[in-house]
Amino acid sequence: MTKTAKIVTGIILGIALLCVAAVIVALAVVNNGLIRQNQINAAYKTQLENVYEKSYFELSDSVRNLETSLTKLTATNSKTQQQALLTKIIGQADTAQSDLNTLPLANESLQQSVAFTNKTGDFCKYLQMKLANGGEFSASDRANIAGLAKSSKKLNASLCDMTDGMGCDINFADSVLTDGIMEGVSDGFDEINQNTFDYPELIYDGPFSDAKQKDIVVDMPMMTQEDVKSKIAKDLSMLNVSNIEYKGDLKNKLEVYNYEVMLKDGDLLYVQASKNGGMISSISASGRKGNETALDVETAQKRAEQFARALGYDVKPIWVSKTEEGCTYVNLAPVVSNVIIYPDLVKVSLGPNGICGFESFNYLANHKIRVIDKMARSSETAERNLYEGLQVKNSNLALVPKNNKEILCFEFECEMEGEQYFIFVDADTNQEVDIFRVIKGTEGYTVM
Amino acid sequence: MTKRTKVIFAVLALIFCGGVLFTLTSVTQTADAATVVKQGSKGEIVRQIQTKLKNWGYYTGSVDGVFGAKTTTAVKSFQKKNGLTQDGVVGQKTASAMGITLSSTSSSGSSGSTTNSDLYLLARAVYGEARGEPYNGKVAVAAVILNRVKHKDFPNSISGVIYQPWAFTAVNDGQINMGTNDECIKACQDAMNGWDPTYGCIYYYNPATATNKWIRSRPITVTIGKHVFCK
Repeated sequence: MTKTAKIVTGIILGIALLCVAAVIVALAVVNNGLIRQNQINAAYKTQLENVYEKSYFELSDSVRNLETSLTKLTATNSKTQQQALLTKIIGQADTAQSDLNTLPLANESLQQSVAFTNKTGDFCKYLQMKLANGGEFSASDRANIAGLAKSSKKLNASLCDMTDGMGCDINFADSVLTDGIMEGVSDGFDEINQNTFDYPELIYDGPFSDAKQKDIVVDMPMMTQEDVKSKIAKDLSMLNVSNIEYKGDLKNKLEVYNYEVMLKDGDLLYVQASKNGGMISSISASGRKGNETALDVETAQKRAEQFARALGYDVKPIWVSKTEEGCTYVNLAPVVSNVIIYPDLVKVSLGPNGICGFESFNYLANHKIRVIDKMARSSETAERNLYEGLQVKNSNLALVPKNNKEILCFEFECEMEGEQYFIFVDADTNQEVDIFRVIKGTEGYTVM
Repeated sequence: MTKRTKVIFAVLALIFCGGVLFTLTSVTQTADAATVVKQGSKGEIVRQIQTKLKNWGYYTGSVDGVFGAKTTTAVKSFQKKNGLTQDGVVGQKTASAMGITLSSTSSSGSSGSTTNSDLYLLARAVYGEARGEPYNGKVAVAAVILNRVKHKDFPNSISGVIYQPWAFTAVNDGQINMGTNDECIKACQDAMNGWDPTYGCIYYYNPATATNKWIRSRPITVTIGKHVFCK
């Protein structure tokens, strides 16, 4: 071997050794990275599992407590005890509902369990209000409480069986990260869905009432989509319509025809109109908003009222709310004998370029000819019962929807320490029916 | 082994090692890459930064969610005071010093003109689920979420409904974290003000992609864009 050949061989061997060393270093780095990644993954998985298990065991606790409290409620006649137990049950039902909805299970498996917790909590809120207003449990209330207690006992037993069946093999995170459903728990809840909830239908289901799902039929003759199309062309003539296209129908709480309405300025409106009577029930559009200059309140009210009246709604502006994007929402309602009819609310939204939204489901669902009792009523007694720190700015008579009933109330617009409130007081009993606080946000003034 | 072969072998070995090291470096860089908020950024995260800087006296401009020159100057002052590199850019270190968490989408997309957390969350869900849908399709998706909040079979809050496991694809695959846009925010404002093009639907699906047989058995009430809405 020549000297040159030896040098070349040496260089090659050196490079090869360097390469091997580099590969070893690279593999070590990769390995270290993989180990670190595995540690991170394991930590994530543990955290995830802990969240699910906390929810599962908290659910078991809440349902056990719920069973105990509901059973106690069947056995007491003391109003103080009843109030205390109802407060506990409302909290326990809320926690159970929240935990159920954290578990990684399909909604259909949990539906009945969630409905049970929601209905139980809501029924107890109704009972609590009944007691607070001086009432007492009726025989049917007691029967319903007994029914709920029986269902909670079954739910508790099922959860205990499920936990016993799984033993130490509970592992939500693995199932979530693989097939997405934990079979044992899912089957358990499917069984609970089918066998547990046989309580009598509650008279009052509160805001989650099944009754709210009932369909609304507008008391007007049925029309074809062609006739409704002609009607809405006439109703919307002030918007310079260039074309109306029928886009199918919808049958849910209200039966409507859908249309896309093209305006001459190029804006597209999505319009829905009732099959009965062809009353426009909804208009929405995005293109007509977006300018930062909002309308002044008076102009917005005037335009909203004109528009609603042109569509056949006999309403007056009641409330105006502006958003930061220059959109103004105007709520309107009929006013009969100086009484604001809140159940028949109509909403109009206006952008700087004109009308960009309309909504009238409540009007179509609730509107009827009402005979308002004109018996002389004074707001003075009701006002005297208000908290003394409130400064009353304005008062009106208003018909207010509450617990599926309509209550004639005095509406007091009040201020206290810079906050604005609307307080509704029953005009017959002088009891406070509802209180709203006005909140200013970027979405305008809202009440809560 | 000939001389040429040896040389080729050596060159290939070098290329291989270089490749391995380059890949490792790239992977590490990608993993460590931090999202930054800088001049020109917009959105809720910018509002958070401006609010913090204003509270601490570094920023005198308006909290408008737009990262402009004044915000840059304020960030530099904050960085100087806290011994950080004075580049006027909010990266992970600066954000951490401010007590803010940066996400991969926080500096882009939305004009973020809302301070209502429910509205913003709803708008993110609508963007993730229906950003390609017509305007009334977006209102309809927001309305379905709100209908669920009122319904006895579902959680009683907007966040509870949106984050209910397996309820929304956009939550499962992380698209809900992509931010939102003005149209989605407006659609959600309409829905929160009572607009519901579905008149009470509590489900929807895309017939082209839905695999859940159960949901397909629900009575359909209306089709808007690519979504079928049902009771």
